[in-house]
Amino acid sequence: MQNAAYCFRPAWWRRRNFTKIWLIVRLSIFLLTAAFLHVQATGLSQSVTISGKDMDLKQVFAVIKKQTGYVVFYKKGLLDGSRTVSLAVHDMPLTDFLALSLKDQPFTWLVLDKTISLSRKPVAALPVQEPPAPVAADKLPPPIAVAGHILDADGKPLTGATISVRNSKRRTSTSADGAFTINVSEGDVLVVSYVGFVSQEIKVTAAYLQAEKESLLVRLQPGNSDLDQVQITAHGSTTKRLNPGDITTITAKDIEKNPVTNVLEAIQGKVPGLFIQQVTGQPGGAFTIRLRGSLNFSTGSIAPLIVVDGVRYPGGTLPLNSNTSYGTQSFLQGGSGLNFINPNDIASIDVLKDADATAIYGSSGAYGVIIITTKKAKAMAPALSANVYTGVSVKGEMPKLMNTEQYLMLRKEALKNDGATVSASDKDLNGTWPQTRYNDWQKIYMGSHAQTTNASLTYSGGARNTTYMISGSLRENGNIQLHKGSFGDGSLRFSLNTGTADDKFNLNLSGSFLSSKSDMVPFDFSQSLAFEAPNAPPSFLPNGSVDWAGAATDPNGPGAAANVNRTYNNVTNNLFANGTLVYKPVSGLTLRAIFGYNDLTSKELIGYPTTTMAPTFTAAAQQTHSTFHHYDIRTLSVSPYAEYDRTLWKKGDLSVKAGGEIDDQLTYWDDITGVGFPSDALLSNPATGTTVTSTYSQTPFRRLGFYGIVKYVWDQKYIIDLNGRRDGSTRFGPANRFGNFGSIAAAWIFSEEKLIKEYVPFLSFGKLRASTGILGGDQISDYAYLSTYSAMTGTYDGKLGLSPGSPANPDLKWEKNREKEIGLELGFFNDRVYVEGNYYRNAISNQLVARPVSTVTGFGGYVLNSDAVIRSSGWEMSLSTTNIKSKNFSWTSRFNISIPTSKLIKAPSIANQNVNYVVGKPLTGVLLYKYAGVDPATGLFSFTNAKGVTQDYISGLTQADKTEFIDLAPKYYGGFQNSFTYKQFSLDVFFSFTNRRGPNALSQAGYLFGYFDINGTTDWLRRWQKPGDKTDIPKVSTNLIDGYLRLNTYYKYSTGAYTSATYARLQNVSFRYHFDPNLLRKMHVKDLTIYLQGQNLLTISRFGRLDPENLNAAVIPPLRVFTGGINLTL
Amino acid sequence: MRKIVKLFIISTVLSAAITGCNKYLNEPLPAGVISEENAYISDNSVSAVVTGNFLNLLNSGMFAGSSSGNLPYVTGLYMDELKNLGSSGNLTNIAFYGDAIQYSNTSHWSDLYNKIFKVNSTLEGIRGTGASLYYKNQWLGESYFLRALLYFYLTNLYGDAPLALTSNLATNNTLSRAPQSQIYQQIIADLQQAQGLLNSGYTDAYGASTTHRVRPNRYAASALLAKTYLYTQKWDSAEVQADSVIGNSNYLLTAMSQVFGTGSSETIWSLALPSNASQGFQYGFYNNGMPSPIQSPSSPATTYTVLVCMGTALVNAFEPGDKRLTNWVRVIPVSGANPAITYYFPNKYTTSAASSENEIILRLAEIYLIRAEARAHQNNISGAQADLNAVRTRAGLPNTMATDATGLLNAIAHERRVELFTENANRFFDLKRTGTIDSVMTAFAPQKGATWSHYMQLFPIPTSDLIQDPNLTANPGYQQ
Repeated sequence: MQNAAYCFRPAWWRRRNFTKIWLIVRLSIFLLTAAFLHVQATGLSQSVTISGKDMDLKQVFAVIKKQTGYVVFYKKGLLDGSRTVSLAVHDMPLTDFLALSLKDQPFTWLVLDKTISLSRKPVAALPVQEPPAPVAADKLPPPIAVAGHILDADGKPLTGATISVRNSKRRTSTSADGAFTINVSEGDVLVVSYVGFVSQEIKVTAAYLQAEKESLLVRLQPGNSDLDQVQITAHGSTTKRLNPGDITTITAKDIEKNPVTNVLEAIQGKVPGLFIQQVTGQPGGAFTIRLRGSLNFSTGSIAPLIVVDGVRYPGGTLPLNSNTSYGTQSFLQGGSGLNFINPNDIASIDVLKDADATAIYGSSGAYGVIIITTKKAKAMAPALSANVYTGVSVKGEMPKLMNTEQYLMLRKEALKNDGATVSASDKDLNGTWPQTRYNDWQKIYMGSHAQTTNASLTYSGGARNTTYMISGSLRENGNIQLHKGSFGDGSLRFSLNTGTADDKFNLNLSGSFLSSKSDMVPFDFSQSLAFEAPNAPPSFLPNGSVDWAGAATDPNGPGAAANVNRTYNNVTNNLFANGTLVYKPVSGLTLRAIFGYNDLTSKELIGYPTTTMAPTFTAAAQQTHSTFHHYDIRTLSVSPYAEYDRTLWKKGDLSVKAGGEIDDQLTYWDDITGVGFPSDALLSNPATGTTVTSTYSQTPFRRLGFYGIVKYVWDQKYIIDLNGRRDGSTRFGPANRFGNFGSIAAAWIFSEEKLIKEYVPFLSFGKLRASTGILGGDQISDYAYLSTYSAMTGTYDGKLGLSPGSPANPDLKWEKNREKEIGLELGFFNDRVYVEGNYYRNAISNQLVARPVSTVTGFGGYVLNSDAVIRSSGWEMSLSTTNIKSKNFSWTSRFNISIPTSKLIKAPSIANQNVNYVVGKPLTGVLLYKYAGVDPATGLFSFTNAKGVTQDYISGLTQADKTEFIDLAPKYYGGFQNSFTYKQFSLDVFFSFTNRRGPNALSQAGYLFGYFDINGTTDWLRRWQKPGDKTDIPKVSTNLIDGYLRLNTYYKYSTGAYTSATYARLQNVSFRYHFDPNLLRKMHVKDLTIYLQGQNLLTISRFGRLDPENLNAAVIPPLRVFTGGINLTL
Repeated sequence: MRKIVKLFIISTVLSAAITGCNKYLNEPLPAGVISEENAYISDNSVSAVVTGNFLNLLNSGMFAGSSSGNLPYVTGLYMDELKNLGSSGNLTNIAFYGDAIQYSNTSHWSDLYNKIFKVNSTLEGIRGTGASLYYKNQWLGESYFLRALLYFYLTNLYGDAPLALTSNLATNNTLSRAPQSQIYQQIIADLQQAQGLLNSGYTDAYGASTTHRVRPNRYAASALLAKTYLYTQKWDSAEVQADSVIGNSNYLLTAMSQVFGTGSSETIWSLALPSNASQGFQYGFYNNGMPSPIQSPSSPATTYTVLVCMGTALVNAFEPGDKRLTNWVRVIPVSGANPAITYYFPNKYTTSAASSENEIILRLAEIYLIRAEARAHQNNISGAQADLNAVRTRAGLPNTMATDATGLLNAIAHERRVELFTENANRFFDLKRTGTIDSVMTAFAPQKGATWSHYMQLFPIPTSDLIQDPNLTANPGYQQ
């Protein structure tokens, strides 16, 4: 800002001397105010420094814009007849400055956010709600032209907004700078509407016409109704109201209520059709994501494509070290790429479901698309906001194991059942271990709680043409297990938006860097819990180190406990860079290019020092083990496109888009593994091991697509949308490299029809929509079409070898998914009740399956497109209601449910079939023996064979006796949210629910109860004891057949192994208090909220004590999280 | 007008982008693999492909060190050479020793065809390449030799079989079985090609002359051709081919103890053990865990890991004073057994050290015996006697007593048994080609608790292949 002071007398000084004193007073006030304002000093100032003689107003406005970012709008010719001004002011507040410089000019001014609009005197405030002067129809004056601008809440011009005159055919839309001209008559009602904003109606009165006809300014407010929420589509955006496709949007407002590390946990149960399952409670662990019936033969089901800010993101599991005994793949269950995007940075998540929404993703749209959009800079007064929460995470649902007394009682019973006596090896019973000792292994291994902390700081601001945002965050999630490691990260983000004054050119840059580290013990102790008697010797000394003394009598105990000495260090970095260039050369045409870059890279160091082995083990040093694993997934996307909007045939809005997309992804990983270290300290460098092996893998993937989208909206009533894409990728051979995909969708907003408006007034919104299309799936390994040669291990007479791999398969094509959907959306009573129902039916064909061939060909199988057909269909329903809305209290509810089914219509005719595939049944099921309960006579599992004979088989059943089919996919799932506000308080309570079947605790145990040193769940207290007992738990036994084989031969593969895992979970509670704005104003604080939040608080299930979500007794269940936090904006 | 110009520029740029983009999808490949064309662009890479085919022979299947696939090992059990000592858990050994194999016990069919596919790909690649290869003849010759070798074993195990001569998957998936005579014709044609293409001396993978006899030369092709003619009863041709090998001064019968060493002048062609092999393959089967004495069978078989020993019939077949019994057999008395038990183990390969012994596929002694047999069939009695005696003399035995063709043929058959025991399935194939297998095995099988049937001469074909290729027929006698 200029600091130079100029001393000359302005022109008005001479004319109006008396104002001098007044000015001094004003200046003192200003200085005082400025001193206060300086406390919140921020970017562009709202004060002006200027000096000059006889300046014309255009010059003055240019200075205003330069110094404050405020733009002055006025109708051409308005400045004619204005006077020149001479000014000398220093840091004068804008409003004062305007008053000063526009004094005695023939117009008035109005500041709306970042825009100053000028209009001719006499002044009238926006007379929007004024009733029109009654004018006789026959006396209507001829229409006159009105010009104006349409702006958004931030003062940015809206291009393509529609202005129409009610009950007439007159309509127009705004140009690139938001300007429009329309002919109106007195008494007309102007309807201004734009996607994502609340439509505004302006009644044109005589006075209004007089005042505003040359500079009408309309500022649209963003839509509050769900219908007017902006939805991000493949290349662009729309609103729920005008979308003929099926998209569900979750915004930051919902996400921020969940104290979670992975955003998937926050949207779980909230999106109809999207099933999310947390695989492990380990921080940094994996999630399963399935959209509708995304099915195929090779993997069973497939995760949707995840796109973050225009870049295809590795949102599924990660290429972690996959060594089964040393790697981390099992510990994190593969991890999840979305752990490395802070949910706090996400502005919205759009889940694209039907053909209309996803067809534009061509070959990768078949399994659905999730678009994640990060927060961007917004034009607003500079603000600094901080959000901090902290809390604890505790263990979730876990099976309850028997205590010593119960364990010993059943052990004795098992021996008695077998007619055996206590032997030397029964240390739990023969007195070697005290029978009064009780170790709660669950408590010892799983620990109790860990701290979780999350802090973020955002600074943003800017003016109309330049906005910026910088944010940083820190997260830390402790591991509740025995060893207190943690998973945490820090990130830095920026977003910058700038454009030319005429809004023809706009540039948006954003970037983020997140660095995460994890030093948790890479071991899930859940799997060890049952493999130790409750009276076995303690595994740890009081100082926390492993007590090897017990190893002599209990090899299980210290051996498992020693896993705490495994070392792990993982540093994962995630870099995003995104640039968007927008150029609007002519009205209606927008050229846009998006450049996206993402690099997710990780370095893992996994160590097995001598302390993981018994001190008596002499070969410990030789077996020390250290692995360095590094992976890197780099994605580059460039998508240029052109968009042309125009009004066609008066009431129609036509939008045409054409563009291309280039993706380049490189997946890389390598390993260095060393074995045998002379010192544990050397494990940090695996290359120093006695034997060192290394692996290296690098797989490129490229994709290229061209697309066109045509959307036509007639009179806000009829919508038709056509999508086409030609898409090619390196997954397929040159002959089949490109595929064509497309969709057509139509919608009818029948609530806009006159008839409905008249006769069904309570129906505020009604839309019927349908879509159909063909999408592709390319979830096969890279370069499967090619015959490739690779280097062989070993040499022949010292010479190297090359060997061909699989046979060339140039015929591979896309999997084909034909999708159909029909949806009905209804809003009642001004959308206070909103219902949406969808039915979809997808035929999945052309599936890639490995076809067996005669080995005379040199190979056993050959991947090719099969003639099998799978159908997935389902119903989805969502309901949102505003139950109570009063001045102080409101209550809203949202409910959604999805009922998916799938069916194998035609089995592959040329492939060996998976034994569980049955024509007419879902692909997600299993064929099982018919379980007939525990035989009351013998206390053993009994089964009914195909001939209907029931007995306690231990042999003799064949595949043909698997007569029962159980579908393991969820039958239905959904969520139920209730939000209450009372004055400054708000409370959100969210339940999720799922109906499905899962393997019960008994079938997951590995052993039936009875063996030495293996405990069982308390379910065993209901075991069969004597002939005649009717129970679901068999007798206890120590022998191989009754204690092990009966479980593992048939029971596990029978209907008895699966029980209902239906559950409802109190997924999230968020209680917030927003401080009174009046109070805050006094404190110079823009916003202050304090809150308490909880995640996974309560589970109601019939699945015993096993967690019904991850369904796995050997994996740590989802954690319960309790946090409290504060959100402050200055 | 300006709008039109702008639109024109945009569309031009877009269409240029579209045409340029097809190229964008062509490359690159994942690290560590190359495309098929790139495998045949230089001597260096073609050499690696051909070497890879030799390496492949040792990685799996009949010459490899896996006890379920090694051909001498399993056919030794199948016939009257080896005795199964192993536990009841080793199903492969039990099946072969009990003369009760199913297709699930043998993977030789699939394995041989996989190797044939690779050789066919190699031949196509070399013939199709535009690159000028300096050692093209050697690469082609080695590949033809290899294909002949693979089909030789294939037809001797399975009889009539599909003759896959290209790498085309669709064609090969519908082949029917070609008669054995046709397969032999192909083997002969391939070997004749190889003879014309290969050098007379030994060359390494880069065409340089070497003393290592691990890549086939012209004489290796002749030796295998002699064997093929013998099997097809073309006695005169067999003699001609054997003559050319025996007449070459590079090949000499060496001292007993050196026959299987790397420097043996008797070797015509051998497989070099791959660098990553932990120890000599054959040594592993027969001598692993040696020389610790084997404990009495009454205590569990935990102190030794060898699963087989020589059968009594084979041990008794040696004449007194036969130096082969002392040089090529390891004799181990069982400690603490009463009455005394002695185990005999094949010990042609004597070391556990990696890369100090090669696996010999063709050696001069066999060529002498081939010529002896060919001559006997042509009534060249003295010639046959001379060849037979050359082998007997080396073994420290007196000249043969046989004086007529029949006697000589019997003597040669016996000599083959003790000279070539547990080598390259010779015993199995010899019994088959001489038509004596049924009589020998019907008499012998009960001694090992088995029953011999005629159909067992041919191995079973995998059922899955019969399902996939409707033109394929099963070998009779086997359960499918």
